[in-house]
Amino acid sequence: MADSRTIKVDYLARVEGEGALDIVIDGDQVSDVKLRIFEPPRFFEAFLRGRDFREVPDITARICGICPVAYQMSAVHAMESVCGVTVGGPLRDLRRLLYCGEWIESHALHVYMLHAPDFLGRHNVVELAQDHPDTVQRGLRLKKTGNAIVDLLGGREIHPINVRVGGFYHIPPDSEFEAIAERLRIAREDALYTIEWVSGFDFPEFEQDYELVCLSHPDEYPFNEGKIVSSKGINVTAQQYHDVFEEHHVGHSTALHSRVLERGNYKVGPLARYSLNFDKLTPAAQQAARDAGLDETCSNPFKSIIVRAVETLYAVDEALRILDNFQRPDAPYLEVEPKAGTGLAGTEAPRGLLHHTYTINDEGIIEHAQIIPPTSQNQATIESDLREFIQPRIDLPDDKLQWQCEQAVRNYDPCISCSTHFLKLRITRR
Amino acid sequence: MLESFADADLVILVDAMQSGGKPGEIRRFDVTDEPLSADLSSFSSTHVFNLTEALELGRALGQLPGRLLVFGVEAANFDLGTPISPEVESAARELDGLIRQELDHHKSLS
Repeated sequence: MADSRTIKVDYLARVEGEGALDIVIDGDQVSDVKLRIFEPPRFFEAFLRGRDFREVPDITARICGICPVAYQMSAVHAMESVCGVTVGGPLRDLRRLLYCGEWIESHALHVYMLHAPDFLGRHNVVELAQDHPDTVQRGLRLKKTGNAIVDLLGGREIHPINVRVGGFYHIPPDSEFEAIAERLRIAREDALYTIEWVSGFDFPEFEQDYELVCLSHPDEYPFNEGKIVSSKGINVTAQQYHDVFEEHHVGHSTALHSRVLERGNYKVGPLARYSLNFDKLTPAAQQAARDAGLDETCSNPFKSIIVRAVETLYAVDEALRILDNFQRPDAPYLEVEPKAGTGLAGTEAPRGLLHHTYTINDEGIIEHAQIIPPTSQNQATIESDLREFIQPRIDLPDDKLQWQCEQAVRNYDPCISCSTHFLKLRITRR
Repeated sequence: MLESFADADLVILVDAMQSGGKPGEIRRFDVTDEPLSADLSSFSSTHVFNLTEALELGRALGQLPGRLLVFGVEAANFDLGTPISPEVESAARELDGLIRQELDHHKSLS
């Protein structure tokens, strides 16, 4: 056996949540990679049982401080599907606008504060800001515009409170929508700058044959609605989710893993959406992507930072489109009466498909809840990426290998808190 | 928070502190020219983006006020749902006087 080496790193920074990464190298072979999530289970699905179906957007919004809108949207769509209500017209547009806000703030946060430092050899955004203050200012301004949309329609920036089954509790005055449109015009310049900036980073050669999974809608880049499709032939409705995907427990993680039945792991998130919905992007976003050197599909997870930047431009343009065509809804919400049954819905959280299943009784009391977040679906793919990535780089010095492994995990913008707070990394060589 | 510093020539921040001291102990930090803590290694996620990191980001971006003071009050108990301890309540009253002194001193300089 070759020399035995152990690398132990106590912190993998810049991820959302608590977990650890263990890598075992036997001689010249990677023998084991485990993304260990030890964040304690949070029992949200159990809290929801026995609660009124109208409470679900407020309770599930508490799962994540970065993407609460995704939780609210999957929840309300699932409840509306049980109760036989479809929210269309201006209310549907406003939900899309709210989602644009979340994508902008979440993507800007990840691109500037969490991921870009990896590419520029900086330990964190503070170091990045010391060398690139104007760039970081732009990133923060972009993020704040996203936050402002969530504040406007959600009632506050974090854990919004204005979303209800059937629509919103309150629609803000027209003048406030106009003010947001002004900010979005500046954000558009920032988003274009971001794409150009990140496209100049160095990317490792690392193309993978993923099964990419996301929503697909005939007319639009997916947020709230669409069929669940994959790059390997899945084409099902949200109602059929459990016929195609299954969750299973692994010993080293408190978050359940997911797989395509009889096939294996898959990948959700920006790369999946982009590669399966390129034709639904705006011409401006398509052009910006091409100018950044992307093809119509992307299977290099390190380039997810460019895809997030392209999606940010898309979200800014889509928000502006909605605001330009803004029509005030007749009422802030549709009345929804409870009906016994099971409702399923998936929406596109910034990190990927977020699927909810609820069973309610005829009084609207929740009897069963199942929430499948994007990071838990991606866990097995993060592990397989690391195995493939490390093998040809096994001779790198441990500190460099560690840096690149952390970067490979951050490609997924993993939100460990959602999927069940720091990530510890340990490489063992024996 | 950084935005609220715009145009201010003095900012005083007050926060609970866990430094191993006695509950209710008050410490004053002048962070105008140097970090609150030299240790930035805890930068692990946006879930724990702490005061030191936020202030250092502000420093890098040139967004700190002319003078920046932080008062830390050693907390007795961080358990969820527990009420304020008598030591911390008494420290809060003492701090009220200290902050007034700082403001008076600042006015006398300008």
